[in-house]
Amino acid sequence: MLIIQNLNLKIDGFTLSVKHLDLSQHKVSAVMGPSGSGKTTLFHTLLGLHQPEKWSFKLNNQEMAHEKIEDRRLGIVFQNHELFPHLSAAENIMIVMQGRKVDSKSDFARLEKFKSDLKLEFCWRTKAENLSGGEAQRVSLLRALMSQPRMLLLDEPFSSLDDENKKEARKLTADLISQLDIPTLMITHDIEDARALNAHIVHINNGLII
Amino acid sequence: MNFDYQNFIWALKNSLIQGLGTVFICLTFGSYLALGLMFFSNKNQAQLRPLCLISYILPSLFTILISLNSLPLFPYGHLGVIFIFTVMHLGFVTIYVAQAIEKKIVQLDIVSRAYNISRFNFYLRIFWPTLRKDYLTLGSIIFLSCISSLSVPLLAGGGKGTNLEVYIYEKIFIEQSWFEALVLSAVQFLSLFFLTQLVFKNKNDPSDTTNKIIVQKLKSRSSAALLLTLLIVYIFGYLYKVTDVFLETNLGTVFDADFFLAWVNSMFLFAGFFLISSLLLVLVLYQRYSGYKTHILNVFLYPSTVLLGFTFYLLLPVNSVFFDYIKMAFGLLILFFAGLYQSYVAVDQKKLDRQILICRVYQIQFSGFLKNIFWPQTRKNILFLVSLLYLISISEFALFKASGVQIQTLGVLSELYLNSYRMNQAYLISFFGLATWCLFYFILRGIYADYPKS
Repeated sequence: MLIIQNLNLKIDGFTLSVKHLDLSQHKVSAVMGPSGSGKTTLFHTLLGLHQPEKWSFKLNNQEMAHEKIEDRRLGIVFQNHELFPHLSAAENIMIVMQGRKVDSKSDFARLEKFKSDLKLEFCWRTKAENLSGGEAQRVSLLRALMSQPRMLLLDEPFSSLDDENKKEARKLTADLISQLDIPTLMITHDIEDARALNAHIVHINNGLII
Repeated sequence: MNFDYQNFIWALKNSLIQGLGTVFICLTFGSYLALGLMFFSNKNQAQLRPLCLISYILPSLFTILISLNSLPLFPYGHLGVIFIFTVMHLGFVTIYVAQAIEKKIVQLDIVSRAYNISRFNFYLRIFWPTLRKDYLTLGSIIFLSCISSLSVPLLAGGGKGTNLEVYIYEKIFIEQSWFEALVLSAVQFLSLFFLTQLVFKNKNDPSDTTNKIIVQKLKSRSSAALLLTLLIVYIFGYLYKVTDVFLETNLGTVFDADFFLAWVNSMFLFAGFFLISSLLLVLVLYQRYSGYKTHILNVFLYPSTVLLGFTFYLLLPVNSVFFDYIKMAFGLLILFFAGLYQSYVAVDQKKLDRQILICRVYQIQFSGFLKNIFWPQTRKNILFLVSLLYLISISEFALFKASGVQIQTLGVLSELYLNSYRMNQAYLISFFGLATWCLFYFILRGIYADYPKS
């Protein structure tokens, strides 16, 4: 799925350097490393927040390195979920489906199924600012899935949850990813996250893939 | 081309005395009042904060009037200027310091007490080093605000309190000494520019940390009483004065044809100011949406009124009503937009940027972002901001003087009354301004309270 080449990025004295990273044989990959190792910088670069020169970022043989954020068609789940606080869980998902023009009958049928799978029926009309951590995480995941992404980017998706919620969230996420067959890259420092998603593990330290 | 160094140094010295004097009084007295604010429960603090901020939010004309009323004999000169500047900034400092203490110091205070660290050592080695940057930022903000002010020293400075702003103004409009005015303007511009860059490059936000525990020992009952007394004197003193003036003034001599013409002129100015502010706001948000930074706005946080007026005076035609309105609308935009944007729109820059990022990732168009994400979350602030544009439009006078504009607005009329010692008229006009401002704000809230329906 994912091949990164010649990535050299210098930000605030930190250098991220990925000469060649081929994850094409793995559906789910996890980039692991300690704090300050460059995980987030890599995540932001793939997202399109940084614009390195002369690098290559191929997803299913399509070059994405120089595409704008909005043209990359990614699904993202942040550590803090980043839902729009004033909108309900349903509205948070609808606004993204409208943006991506995901509006066929089958899409809505899928939405209903996932809503049920993720146990979101009871908080469907609740404003995001009033959702529990676990609910917000599941809404954020559903939002990413319903956006029909080329790829899922997960940034420490379970780190803000308590142990009980973490277990359940890992299981639900793993189930949905395997059902949907979406290439996924997860940034994490927790080996259990990688194991739960059956991910291929890549280690990063001091800005270098090791 | 003579340059009067002696008077330049004198005006510069006056600017420094007024700026640094205000900084010193505000920081020391404000720190004490902050302990008083912390005395109240969170709920009461939330009610007191807007009252503390009134003098900081209201345009300078209102604070000048309230300050003039609060002393039996007003000390024109340095003392008067410092007094008004202090009234303007004290509430802001109180809130800022209270926030910083609650979020950074309180837990350290618990630890210090647990380990029997003496109070002296606590203040010297823990309190001060932890809050030093906050005080530096706060002091710089107050200093910048003081040295870039024309209205306060113009009205309260007398001959002895002439600061650099007033000195440049006199060089332009009284002595018509263009060379000196240009050199002085360059000095003023460069000082403000570099100071602003310095302050806002390293701005220290007290909300960065999250500790919200409050400890009894750091609160002060006496300063709480003083804080309440000051607020009562500030608000009720003004209302008492206005009531008194209402009873002893023939209202027909104030609310006459000149007054209504001035109000209509102010409304025209407000319409123009509102229009270009709205356009600029959309443009700034679009810039952010497109991934560009908007740091350039920081340059305009503390612009020099006299410098701006002088530029307009030189560059745009004089004695043209049309150009006078253009000058004033753009002038107010340059003077106030950046500050209002920072205070009411981009209150939480990180949150705004994160939401923009999500919108871009999921291809939510800019119009969708504005309508569905930005407006519902900032509606209350934006409506308040619009009402402030009205208040500024009807009360600004210094920019009119500095740019030689001849339009008579309520602000200009008030200044005329103040300068000719017809204080009662000025008080009545200021009260009319505040009353219509409140009315306007509540009408706006009524119309847009639930728009769009969720």
